[in-house]
Amino acid sequence: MEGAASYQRFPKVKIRELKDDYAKFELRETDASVANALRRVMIAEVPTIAIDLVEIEVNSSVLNDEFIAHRLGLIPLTSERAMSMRFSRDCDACDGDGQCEFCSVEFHLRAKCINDQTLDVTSKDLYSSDHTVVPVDFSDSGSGFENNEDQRGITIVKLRKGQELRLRAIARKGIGKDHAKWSPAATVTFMYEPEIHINEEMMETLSLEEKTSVVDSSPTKVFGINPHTQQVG
Amino acid sequence: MKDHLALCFLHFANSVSLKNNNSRVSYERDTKIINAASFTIEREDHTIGNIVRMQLHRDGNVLFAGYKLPHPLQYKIIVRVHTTSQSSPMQAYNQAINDLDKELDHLKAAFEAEVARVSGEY
Ligand SMILES: [Zn+2]
Repeated sequence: MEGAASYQRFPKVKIRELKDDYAKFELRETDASVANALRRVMIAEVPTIAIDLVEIEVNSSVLNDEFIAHRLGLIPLTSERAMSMRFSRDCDACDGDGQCEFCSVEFHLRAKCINDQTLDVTSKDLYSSDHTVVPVDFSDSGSGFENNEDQRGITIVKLRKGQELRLRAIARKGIGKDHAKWSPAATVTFMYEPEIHINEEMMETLSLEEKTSVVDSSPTKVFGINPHTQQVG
Repeated sequence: MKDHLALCFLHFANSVSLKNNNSRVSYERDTKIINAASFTIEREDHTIGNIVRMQLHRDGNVLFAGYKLPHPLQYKIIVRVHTTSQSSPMQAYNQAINDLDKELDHLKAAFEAEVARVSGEY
């Protein structure tokens, strides 16, 4: 049994771009099945934390309770803690109740509009029981979400004079396969990249005019022409 | 966020190594064809099915390797393997899983080293 040939590969990774909310990398010496599995795992199997249970004490807003609960669920929360956290369904400390410190984080929200100005209730009004699990702050991510005048987080509901919202929310660990709110990625895609080799010998037999038409034949302008050496590259 | 990508690799590596914890995998020999068998993997889908299939294809002793998701509502896959007499479905399957496991460990290490290199540049 032992000593059988190994078919193991040693893939190579090269990062082309790495930002707070964006990454692009090359994957070599493996096949599409691995790239696709990686893509599927990133979308649907990497655990994150999201609000999963909402107890509404007072809601006199124009949105109904379940509408607000749904919106709360979609708010991205910082999920570094997710790997060390337990899934509520297999937590012994609370018998799958999903309310203990090992498998949940509690949030509170209280807001009431007391003047004529419409009050925006946002993710910044959510108070977390755990400072490591808070709504993601997009204002410094350099992703174009910033400088929207007074950056106030993600709007949950708007209140007019006299309306009130008071609730308790439980955030839990989960995966994108159970509900898209737990998916850590907006999109993940991969593609094959063509490698273009120019036959230099044959290229030299072309006239400048013909070279120019080769360069122009590419709809995405992959080729260029050196004005001095007249080489296509 | 950068840590999170590394975490994707980690999680992926973990999810593959779990496959060998047999309680989630059952083995059934074919009654008519020798060296043919089906492995039922509970709580897995195309993510694992396809990489296992492709890895089995790399083995010269594997005559057939395929997987199916029997029903969209049933969270399991069936991997069918047919080998030559030089090998056995069990041997080929174990080899494929071990090779994949090592490949992903390597991928994780390679990615983390690359993240460290790129982050160091700034
Ligand atoms: Zn618990």
